[in-house]
Amino acid sequence: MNDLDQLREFRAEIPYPERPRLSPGRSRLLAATRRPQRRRFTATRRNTLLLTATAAAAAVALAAGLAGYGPSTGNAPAGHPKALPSRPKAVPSQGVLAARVLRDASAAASRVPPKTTPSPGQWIYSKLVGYEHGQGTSSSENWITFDGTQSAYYESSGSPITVHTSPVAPPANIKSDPLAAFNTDATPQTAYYALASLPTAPGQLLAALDKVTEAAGGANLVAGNPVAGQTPKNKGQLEFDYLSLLLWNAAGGVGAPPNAEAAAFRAMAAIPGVTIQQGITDAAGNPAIGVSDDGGYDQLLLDPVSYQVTGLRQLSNGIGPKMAAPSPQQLAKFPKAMQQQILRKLKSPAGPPKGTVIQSLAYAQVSEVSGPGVK
Amino acid sequence: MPPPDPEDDAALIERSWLDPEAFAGLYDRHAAPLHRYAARRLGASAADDIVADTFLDAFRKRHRYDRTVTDARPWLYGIAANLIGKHSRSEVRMLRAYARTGTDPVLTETDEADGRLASAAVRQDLAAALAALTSGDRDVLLMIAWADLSYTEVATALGIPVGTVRSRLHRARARIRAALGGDDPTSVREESLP
Repeated sequence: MNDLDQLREFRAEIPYPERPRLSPGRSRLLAATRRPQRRRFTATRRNTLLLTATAAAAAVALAAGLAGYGPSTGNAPAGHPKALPSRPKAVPSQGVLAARVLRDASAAASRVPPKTTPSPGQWIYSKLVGYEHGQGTSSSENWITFDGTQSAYYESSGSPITVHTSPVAPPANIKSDPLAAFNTDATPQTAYYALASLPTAPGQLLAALDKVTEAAGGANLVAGNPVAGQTPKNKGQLEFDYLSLLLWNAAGGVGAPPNAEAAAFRAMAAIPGVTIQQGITDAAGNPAIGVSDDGGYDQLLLDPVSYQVTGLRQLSNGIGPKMAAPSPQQLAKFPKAMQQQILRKLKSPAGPPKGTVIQSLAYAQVSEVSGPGVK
Repeated sequence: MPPPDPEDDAALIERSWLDPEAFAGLYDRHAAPLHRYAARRLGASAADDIVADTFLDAFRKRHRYDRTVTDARPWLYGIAANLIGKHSRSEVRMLRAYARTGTDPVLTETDEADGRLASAAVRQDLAAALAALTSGDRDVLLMIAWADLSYTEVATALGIPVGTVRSRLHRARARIRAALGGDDPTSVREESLP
């Protein structure tokens, strides 16, 4: 037996992969083939899903009230780290993989050419798909202006479009203190300026987040995340949750300046404990990568090809989502059909088995349009 | 023997220019052996990503494919080599660990295999020798030994002249033979190669 023969036997035990092992890769490829033109998620949050810290309870309840479908998850949902089998040390660790994904996301964001900041009255159309365990999916179409002062939606199918003008002016400190403005009112504009205001160096960016979350009451601030079921348990989780909230709100608007998004992903990669889950599907049925800092329970979803933020989802910890009841005023902000769902959900908050997808939100489409009703 | 596929890789890739989903056919043909090749180098988990990324990258570059090359394997293995190269430190670390401990981290990742069989000592020597190669020499050697590519195909894959493939292979084999305590390294013959 010569040296090449011996080499051919080296690690020859390693088998050809079974089909399920290759499926996620094939799905990613197919997703890429079906999207010949990468569109940028440039537009926004919808009026009924204003994710402000002050409307946290309502937002959580709204998300809970969104009915859903069963998103097909390519892989088993990630469980808590303690429940996962120990990974061999030789392969890239979750942290390394997560860092790589976020580094790629950062690179992808930095490749997007910068565009002009929209005018405050620029209309943005978005179609949001929501899923809730046991309820199925529902989708809603919404229009909002960049500054959030006007919004529009259909009360029900066939009804005339309702245009709402907010009695509250946009935060006055939107340029002088964008993070505080975002904390006051999460609009496409405040998310845009908040991300743009952050330092680009990861350490400095996270320090800036620490400062603002501490000033604004820490964990209470990120309760505005519509699908976050877990209270942050440490500084890293708080940083991750707050950054996710900024990115999610920006994704529902016109995004953020590309260099700011790139910096946000770089900083996210620097947060300890960040993990990813690949081969999953968002609520709109598109392939996604889930990024998490609590062992996979609360995830920010990225498009696996473009790395744009497309969704959020929450997996069950086996106990059930904690939901705060909205006040009657908060409840009144939502369409009547959603109000009923929210109330039903509050009555029976039983938790599905650990690892089950219990809530998922995704933008199926976001675009800048000429006015309400225009897609 | 199944009848040969009437459509070669080049034709399939060309078809995908107008019908992008056709590109999945290339995945179905080549993903499994490519995965095994990557898994032998870095373990199955890393291979998952490498295969997926290889085909995504290939898909993006499909318009630049040279249609005169009917077999896409050199192209795909070349893309994979770049991705594997990014894990070079990890690959060397695992090979060294195997040489030192006799337990192969790449195999312990999978349940179905146990590397601690008859020729354990030889395998440890091989691991040490592979770890000591430059990544360029290792690419050439393993593409020939594990991926069954010809000299010309390896040259295409790595974008280097065939002469360079020969010299890299000669050097790599000499080191492998020396590590295995075999004959004089200079006696390595190329006639046994494809």
